[in-house]
Amino acid sequence: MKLNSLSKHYIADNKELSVLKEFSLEVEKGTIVALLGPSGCGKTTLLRLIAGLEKADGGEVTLEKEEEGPVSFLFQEPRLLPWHNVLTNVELVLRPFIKDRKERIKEASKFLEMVNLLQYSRFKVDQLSGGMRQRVAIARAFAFPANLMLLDEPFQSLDQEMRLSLIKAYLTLWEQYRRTTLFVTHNITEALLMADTIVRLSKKPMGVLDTTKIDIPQRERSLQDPHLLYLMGELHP
Amino acid sequence: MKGSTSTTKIIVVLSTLLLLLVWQLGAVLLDAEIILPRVGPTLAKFVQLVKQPPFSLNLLATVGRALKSFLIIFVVGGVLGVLAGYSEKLRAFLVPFLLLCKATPVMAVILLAFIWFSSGAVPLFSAFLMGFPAMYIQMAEGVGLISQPLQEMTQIYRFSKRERLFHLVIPSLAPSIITGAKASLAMVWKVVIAAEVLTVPRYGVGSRMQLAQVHLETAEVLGWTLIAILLTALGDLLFLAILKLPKKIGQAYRRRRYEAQLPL
Repeated sequence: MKLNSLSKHYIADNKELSVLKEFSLEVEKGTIVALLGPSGCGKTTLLRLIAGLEKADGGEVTLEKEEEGPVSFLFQEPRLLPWHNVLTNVELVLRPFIKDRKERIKEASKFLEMVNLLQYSRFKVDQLSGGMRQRVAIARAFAFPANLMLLDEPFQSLDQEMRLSLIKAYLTLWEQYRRTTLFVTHNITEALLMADTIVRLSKKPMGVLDTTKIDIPQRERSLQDPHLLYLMGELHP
Repeated sequence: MKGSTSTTKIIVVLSTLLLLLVWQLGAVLLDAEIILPRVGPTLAKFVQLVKQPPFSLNLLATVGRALKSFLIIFVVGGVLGVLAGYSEKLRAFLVPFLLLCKATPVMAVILLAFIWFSSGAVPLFSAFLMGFPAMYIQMAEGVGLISQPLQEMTQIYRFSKRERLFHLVIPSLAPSIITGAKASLAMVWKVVIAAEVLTVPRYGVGSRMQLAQVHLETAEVLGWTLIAILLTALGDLLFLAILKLPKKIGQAYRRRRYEAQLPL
């Protein structure tokens, strides 16, 4: 995926606020790229432009053939339908792609099993903890046959233990499907555990400060790894 | 919680008894049956009215008119409310009509309708004009309260229009639908009976009230009033029971599927 000179500005109190000014970035197919930047620098806006939730004032997003089509988006909050149970929340996104109901349920159950939530299929969303809800959102994001995953700080509101558990859940699914992932965060640990490439960003208007590649496979990464500890020091602002 | 519920019930019963006592005391002090009959003879009249053969015809006529009006309000107010919730232009277009409905006195509407339509259509027309705003406003405001984040989620995951309607819009609007429908229904009973009083169709609770009043049968007027109060209360209870029905059916269905170990 290539982001070519993307620009976006908002008008607030009769003043023009430039969030993105000719922002360009290249994301290698099938990898996880973490966009690491301070809060409010425009990371979320960038994801919203790529997802089509907002329109850019200038520039374009070019996708490779394998990345075209629907996009999955993991928001900061799980955004589940509270009146439906866990299974229906996942099954609903499969409706345009799998016509047979039994097949759909089987497919949704498969993803729920991957995030260890199959036994909670019939639970209502409000019966789950915050971490479990986000896990359902991960299952839904992977169940949706998208080739591009956009993650907007989905683990932000969770404690460290839950955060690591969800990162593990995400990586388990990602290793199986290898979908191109653009991951926005301001948490260096999350970026180090998940990303193939970490892009450090500057404040508004957002720009690329530097890029760091991590060659260690995700499943072998540990926060005690000397190389990751070194990178953590380097990436600290 | 249970304790507080039973306390509330006791307070309601005591308050009702107090009202009956005030009525009885007033009747004893006035000592004029034509102005205010005592509780006992009024209740006896009520029982007599219920036992008389035309009672069911009168009751069914009023219930029929109220239900017809309510259904028209529910559909028209509901659909227009949802559309207006999404369209600022439609909302603006309907402002004068809404103001007219809200500001015109009920009696003025009924009297004008009586000039324009047959007596059977007057309750329907009047109840529609009076009940429509409650349903419409609730729905239009309800649309504005549909979660923006959930709307974005349905956009990302490419929900079809039908899926958005059934899985986001209608469930989000459920509280507004219930509040609007309850308010409209309460209004409909009152307006339908008031319209029957003024237009005196062949059958109807309001018609009987009017005829009793003409004959200075105060106990009968109060008896029919009691029937009208019970109708409104029963209407409310029935409405709540209907609302609970889909949930109960759903629960029973899920339990059956779960017990049979079949996938939902």
